[in-house]
Amino acid sequence: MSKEIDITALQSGNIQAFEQLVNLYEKKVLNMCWHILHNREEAEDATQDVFIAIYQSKHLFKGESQLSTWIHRITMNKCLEYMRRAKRKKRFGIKVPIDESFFAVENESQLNPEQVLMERERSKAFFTAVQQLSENQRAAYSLHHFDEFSYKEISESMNLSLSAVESLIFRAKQQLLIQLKDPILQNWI
Amino acid sequence: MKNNRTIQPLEVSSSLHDKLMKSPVYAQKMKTRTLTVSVITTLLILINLVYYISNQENLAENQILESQYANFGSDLSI
Repeated sequence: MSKEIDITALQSGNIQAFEQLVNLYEKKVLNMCWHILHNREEAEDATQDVFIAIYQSKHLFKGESQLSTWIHRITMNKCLEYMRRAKRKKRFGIKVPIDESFFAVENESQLNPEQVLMERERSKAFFTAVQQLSENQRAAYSLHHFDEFSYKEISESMNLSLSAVESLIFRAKQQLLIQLKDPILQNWI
Repeated sequence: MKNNRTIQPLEVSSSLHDKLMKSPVYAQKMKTRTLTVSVITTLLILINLVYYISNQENLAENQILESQYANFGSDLSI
């Protein structure tokens, strides 16, 4: 993707190059944020902050990594910032809710109401458990699980070693297995 | 996700897209705001510093007057 963007033009403040970058990465960044933060409003705010940060620090991109890796790293930092903010809000009793979209049931029309309810409850339990993971575990697990990032891509995005990422995801899965006793939910992990 | 469970990806709304396109404008506004706050903070620190220095002499005098030697000699008659 980065080959299609004129990095020099972007770094010299060319608005067209920046708009091209927005068009290419906005959906990816939004979905990364959404999968980590579990709330559309928060994800949209984070996405906006990501692109402002990209514009502000465009001169810092040295070309040592791919542009996409650099953007993922900025996105990850913003998501961690938003998670910390949500944690602070929680102390004051303000909870950031998980979007209903995460509880949507596939092929709902083919299931009876009881099955739909059960599925929703399972989803709720699953995402509540994911939200209770530590910030780094949640971020690494979400990127691997929902965005289908490889361990290498996660290590580059989070600026961690490969073994640290493996350990984070392993511990996240262990934590989820402890919390979720339902065998169907354990199969989702 | 395993077990054929997938989350439908979000589509970028037109309002968000417009906001993202305006990122350079927001970045400039933030830069101006940060600069203004820095200048005001620096000015406030300077004003406080000047006020503190100009009051140093008075402070030293007040400290002597409030010390145990302030009334030295006043009770020698006892």
